Amino acid sequence: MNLEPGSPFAANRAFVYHGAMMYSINRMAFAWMCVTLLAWAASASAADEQATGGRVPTVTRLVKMFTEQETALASAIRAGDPSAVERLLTDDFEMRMGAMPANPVPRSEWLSEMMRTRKPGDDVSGMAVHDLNGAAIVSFVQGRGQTAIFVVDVWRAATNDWKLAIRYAAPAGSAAFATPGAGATTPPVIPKKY
Amino acid sequence: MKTRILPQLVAASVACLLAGAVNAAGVLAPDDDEDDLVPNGKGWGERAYPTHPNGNGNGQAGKGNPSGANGISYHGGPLILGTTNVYYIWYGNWTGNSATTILTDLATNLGGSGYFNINTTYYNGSNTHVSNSVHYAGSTTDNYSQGKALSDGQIQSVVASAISSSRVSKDTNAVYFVLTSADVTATSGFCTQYCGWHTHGTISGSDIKYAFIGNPDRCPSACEAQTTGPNGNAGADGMASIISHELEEAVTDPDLNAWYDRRGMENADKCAWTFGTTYQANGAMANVRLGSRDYLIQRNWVNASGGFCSTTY
Repeated sequence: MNLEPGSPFAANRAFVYHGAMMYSINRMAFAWMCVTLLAWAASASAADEQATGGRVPTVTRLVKMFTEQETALASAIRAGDPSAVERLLTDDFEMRMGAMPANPVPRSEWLSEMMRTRKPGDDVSGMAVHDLNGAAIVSFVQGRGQTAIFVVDVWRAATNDWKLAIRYAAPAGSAAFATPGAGATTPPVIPKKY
Repeated sequence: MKTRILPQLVAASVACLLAGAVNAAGVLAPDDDEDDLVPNGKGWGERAYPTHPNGNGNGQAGKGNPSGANGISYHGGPLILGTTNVYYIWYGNWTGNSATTILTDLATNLGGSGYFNINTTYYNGSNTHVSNSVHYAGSTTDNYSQGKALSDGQIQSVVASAISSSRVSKDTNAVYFVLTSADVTATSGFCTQYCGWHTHGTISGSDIKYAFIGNPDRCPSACEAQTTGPNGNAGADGMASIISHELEEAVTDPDLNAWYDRRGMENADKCAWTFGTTYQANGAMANVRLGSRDYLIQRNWVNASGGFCSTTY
């Protein structure tokens, strides 16, 4: 420790007895501990967000499994790892959006855009999975409010894995939006937990 | 000086390591800058209600500690304390199905087990803990009174009918399970979002806790952990795990305002579809023996020691 005149710690010379000096050292040790704790808290918080990767409670086995698949895809996009993303896509993957249903976004363009932005979308919620023997229809909402997107992913069973074949995406809209088949007959939802 | 400062630095390091370990075990503890989520009944958590019926604007009840050191938090609501009574309502056609004995045995032997003892780590605002006591209080049948595609409201009607007709007792310290046969579905997401759920409602003027448990034979890939069960009935063996899941949640969060984490996950949600160490029983996997039967039951969240999934406590 530098206690020479002019050094940041020169004031310590003013202490005339050992107890005062130890008081100063205790303060420094405490400050060091606080800095360490703050650094730990920041890293732990970041790790927490990364590890959980979403806000979807696991419900059915398939919901849990495809939550992990979607999380793996999102993580690969965030990491800017095209190989990892491609391993999760079929060769003929495409995305279709509600605003231009007859003009799909081809695999290469979708991948290029994802690698450029590294933004896979907001948190996933409300997932449902329909198992159609070899294809799984996975629906969910990304984000909340007016910018929420309703996504339907079609995953195809591969040899030992599942690969994303088609993504349909459109603004989630609102329940008040007139959709044929949905309306006044929809029963009220009883609050419940899975 | 070295001899005085070194112990302090070592102590500070140990404190940091201990704090890190606690954080690693309880990774779901709420962040300071984030309100808790509450389940909305649709399978995911949402921000708490702007004006919670029992609490403040953050959706937290007036009492209780929302920041759980064990990865799960108490939000001030009641728990089922003392002996928890269990009633079964066998809906549909269960004739000749061994599920009626397999699942009755489950309810009979859960109380006093190391598995159910996990729930004793949960407590209310007065620090009264859940008891490791479950009593199978009886059952009744329902011959498709609401058809074969049940809405949430119709499931509540099944429970209400059983109570109002005195086929089962009215009991506020109980959980009523509506168990449906394989030809019956629930229209709010059975097999695609959930395998079962629990809730509460006012029935005959009382707060009644009840649960829906669908038959996994309708959707083995979604709701069965294995295609053969340790008791030779894959559907019933699958239901055993779901019943256990909903029962431990109903006991620790009966009115949906007691124990859950910041994502809205209740204790069993945090361990869903994890089983820990398994062994072979009748050609299938099992992880818990209750009475004379083996079951493959998902683990539950222990609200102690930082929080962890286990089959016993």
